[in-house]
Amino acid sequence: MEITVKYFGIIADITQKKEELFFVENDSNTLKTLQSEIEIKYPKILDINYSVAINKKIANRETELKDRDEVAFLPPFAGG
Amino acid sequence: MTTDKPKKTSFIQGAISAEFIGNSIAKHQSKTAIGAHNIFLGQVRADQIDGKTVMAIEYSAYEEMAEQGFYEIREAAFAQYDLSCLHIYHSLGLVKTGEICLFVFVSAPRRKVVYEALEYLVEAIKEKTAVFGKEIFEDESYTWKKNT
Repeated sequence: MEITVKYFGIIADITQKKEELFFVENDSNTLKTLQSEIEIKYPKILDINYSVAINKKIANRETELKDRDEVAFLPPFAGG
Repeated sequence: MTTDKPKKTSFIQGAISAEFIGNSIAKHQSKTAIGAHNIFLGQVRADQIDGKTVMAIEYSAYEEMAEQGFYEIREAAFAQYDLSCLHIYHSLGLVKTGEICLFVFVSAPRRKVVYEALEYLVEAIKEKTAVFGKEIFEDESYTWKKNT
């Protein structure tokens, strides 16, 4: 599966990029594997109380992941 | 099946001007069923953080998700309160201290509902929309804004 991952706010500071592509084994059909891979690649994001969205909807580690989904790593919202 | 799509954009590049706010009020003069408006204006505050003063906030967003968030908040407010109309505008990019970064405008036939609806909207916007703020100091260093 080809997954586009987007980073925002302080998370983009940690990753030093706003977007990258990941290739995930097809048998990993939840977010869990990809999320763990990203946490290992960028361990500092574990210090952030972040949430994850799949295709612009808040998701969790058990949420189903499909080919060409867009995953976003979001720090706490700070609008207003 | 159709999916709900945001019908209009809530983001404005840079600060929200007094002129824009004034024009927005003026546009409602033709809607004569309205008897009460209520307005919230969020202003960038010169916070002191570790001895440094905030000069501006640079807003960024996961725009498509935030627009969907504004749309859902708007729909929920219309379902919950007897409103004639409501408008949400949020800045993107740089907004200096003292300038306006959030403009929420609700209108209804009668006054009581506009107090409640406005509070509901502002709190929901802060909690549920994917907007981020970089607080920039005089020396150009920065920290990421945390909502309290």
